[in-house]
Amino acid sequence: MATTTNVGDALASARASAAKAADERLGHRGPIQRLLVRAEIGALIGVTIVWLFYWIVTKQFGTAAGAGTYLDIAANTGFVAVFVALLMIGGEFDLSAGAMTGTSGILVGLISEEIGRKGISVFIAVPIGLLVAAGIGFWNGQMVNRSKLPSFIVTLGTFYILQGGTLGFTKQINGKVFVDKFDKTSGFSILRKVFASEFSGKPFGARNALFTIMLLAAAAFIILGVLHLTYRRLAKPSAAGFPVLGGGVVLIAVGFIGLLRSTGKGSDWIFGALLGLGIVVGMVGAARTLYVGGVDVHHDGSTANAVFKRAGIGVVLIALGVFFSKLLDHHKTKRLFLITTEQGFRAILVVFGVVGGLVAIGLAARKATPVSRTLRLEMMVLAVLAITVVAFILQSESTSRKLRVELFSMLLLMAAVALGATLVEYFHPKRLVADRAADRHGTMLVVAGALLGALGVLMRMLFSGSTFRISILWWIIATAGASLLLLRTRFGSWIFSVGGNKDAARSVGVPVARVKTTLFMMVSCAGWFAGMMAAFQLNGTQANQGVGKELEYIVAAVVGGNLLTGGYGSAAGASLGALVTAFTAVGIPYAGWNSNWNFLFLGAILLLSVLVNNFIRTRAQAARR
Amino acid sequence: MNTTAPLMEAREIAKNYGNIIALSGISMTVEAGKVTCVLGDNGAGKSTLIKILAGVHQHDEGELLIEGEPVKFASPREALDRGIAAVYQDLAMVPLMSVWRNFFLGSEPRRRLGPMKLLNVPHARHTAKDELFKMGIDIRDPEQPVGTLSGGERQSVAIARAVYFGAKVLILDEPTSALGVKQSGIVLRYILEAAKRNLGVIFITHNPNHAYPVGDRFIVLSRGRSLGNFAKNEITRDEMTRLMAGGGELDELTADLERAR
Repeated sequence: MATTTNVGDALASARASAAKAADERLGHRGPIQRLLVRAEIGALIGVTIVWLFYWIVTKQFGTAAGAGTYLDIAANTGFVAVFVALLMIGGEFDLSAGAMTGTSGILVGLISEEIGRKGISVFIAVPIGLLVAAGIGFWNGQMVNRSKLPSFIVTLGTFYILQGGTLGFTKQINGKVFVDKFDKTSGFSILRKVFASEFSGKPFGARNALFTIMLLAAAAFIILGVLHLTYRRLAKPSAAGFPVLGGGVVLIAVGFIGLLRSTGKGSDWIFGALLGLGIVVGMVGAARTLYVGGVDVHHDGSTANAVFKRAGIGVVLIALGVFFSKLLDHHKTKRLFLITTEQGFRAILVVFGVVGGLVAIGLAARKATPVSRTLRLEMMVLAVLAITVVAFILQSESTSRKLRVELFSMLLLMAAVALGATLVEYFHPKRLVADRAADRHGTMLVVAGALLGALGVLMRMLFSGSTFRISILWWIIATAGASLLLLRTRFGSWIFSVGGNKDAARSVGVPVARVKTTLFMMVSCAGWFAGMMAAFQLNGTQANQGVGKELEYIVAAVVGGNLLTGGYGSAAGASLGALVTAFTAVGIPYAGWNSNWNFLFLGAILLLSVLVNNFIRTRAQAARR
Repeated sequence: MNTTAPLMEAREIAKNYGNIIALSGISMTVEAGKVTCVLGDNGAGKSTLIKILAGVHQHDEGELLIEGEPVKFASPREALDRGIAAVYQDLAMVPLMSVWRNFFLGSEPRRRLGPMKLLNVPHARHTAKDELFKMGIDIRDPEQPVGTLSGGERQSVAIARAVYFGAKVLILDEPTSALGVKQSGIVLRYILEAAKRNLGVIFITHNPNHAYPVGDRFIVLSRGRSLGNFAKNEITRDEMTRLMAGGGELDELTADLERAR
């Protein structure tokens, strides 16, 4: 065994070879790949697709009133699901979370009404409920830690105890199996403002204009951010790009103002075209100004056949989608297959054809990259054309105003952005090395753009005359807080480690038992809060309230990308999962379908999302090695 | 604190699990800048010994001294606070978690943001990358899950982590057992590097060919007892191998096999 080599030399050579390797290997992951690795990506795709589906198929889904309904339902599930997700990442389950909401409501109701006929004010009863909830969570945690039994069993026991106990005590004390007239207790109206108040804003004059400006600004930020993350920055902005960029901005402004002020339908298309052209020119100009130009050298001799095959499939799928959009008349509501009308069936085929076709063409474009630069350009242009064709066919043939105007405009804007991105890619090589400052700026721009867009949508919804409940606000706060806790605090790292390998965690000093007990207490207290929201909203509680919700929380968490075995996942994903289940719960009655199909859809979504999550994650991990 | 005393010393340590005597009468010393090898076949009690030294279990008899002071660790955290870092066979790594989170697990760097103490993520990310680079591993992206690293790389992350957090004594539990020749060589080089930085290293293994080149002192365990405590100049590699394999038993076995041919 050679020990004659000097250790210092050995390590020096190791460092040198590592440094050389750093130059050779790609050190930079593109923004798309980074997005795909996130745990929430499957849920994000799911939310978009399901929303689009119900938007096409129902009248009310796209309205603010519809939004108020499904957001409220999502909030009630999502608030607790977020913490159930945290617990799941920590490697445990809590089956008593659902029953906890009912027990809290009953407890608070009984205390404030029945015990002490003077009527103990809710100001005392509500905190007592919180203490009891925390105690039950503590009990769950201690039982799991000490008995070493699976949490599934322990919390199942708690669930039955809560359910039976609540029913029993309510019947005993109250004579009924529910608590009502909650609104007669003292202090009710004040606390109602906290837990269940509603908000309804009237539309104001500049609302639509403001909304559109916010959306366009959001889009601009996101596009710029993605460009920043993908391309190499010039040391100083190049002056050559300014005129192009300026031209683009002017075109956008003219097109936008023209569209805003137009009344008749005649000249609309000119302004729309100017807007689209402006977007393309603007993007090319921005890239010219900010990024290094040149050619991407990436040939590896693979053949073009695979590319054409995929492109061919894409074209065929799109043609099918367009064909079906014309075939089935929108007005016929005759039942076609079992649960769906002709209209529903057509919607499914159209969405499948169009989305599938676009994805296939997109894959063809990706496959074309190592073959040749021009082939890639051709594929991207094909994609842009496909989008435009789809837009125009839908516009002319469809009798639905939604498809005709809104989807049409969206598709055309997408086509413009895609064309701009194609041209930028043709003239600029992609970034290969890490550039921390550009990464930071790019990410900030994208996040700012997404937030601005969300804010714009929120503003438009809130000021549309429909009512929104405060549960939605609490849900958003809970999601933000839990995500911050998970990703940016020490405790969050501990949660990941306890779920991923608790022996490893313990051996480096992480207080495993304390972390688990804290998580159980968080879930129980979240259950209490949800119970309060329900009780103040419905002026009472049923004794069996919440029974069955525990599985919904788990479904939401799993759909959101949380691993059942723990150690990986996302709190925001659980919120998205709750949103998807809410869409289904609300969309099916709106569409006029039998609401019993709700469970069928839920099961299908659950299975599909788990498969998609796994698929994307394995793909993204493998590509990174 | 006695500065002339060895970094760590075990005197007649014994541990029982119910009726079973896992360890009995074990004595050894660890000095700064030197490597002590603990050898023995499977079942000899090596794992139990480390767990006692690292604070996972408590010894039932005997004394454990850190820099001359008798201690009895109640938890691994206590041992860590005294500068005793153990790198276990399963590496104490969480495979699904990123490299930088694993690196800083249990000792996360934080900074204040108003009333809250948040993780200092950029600092954690590039510190993990830099420390690993100093050990010769180039992690492309500190965000990648530790499970995507090779076995030797994971061992190096674990060792780099222990060294960074100021360990005085580094205990390595069979680090080369699951590795190939080249990767084992890498790990052995890190062991020497750690010793060069004035750590005391305890290297547990059942492979005398790995132990002999790097060790300064050797202790051989068999069925919970010590077969001897030797300095490098007191024993040759072959003698050590024979001792580990049970000496006379190996000769008998060889003779039997010859007869059966």
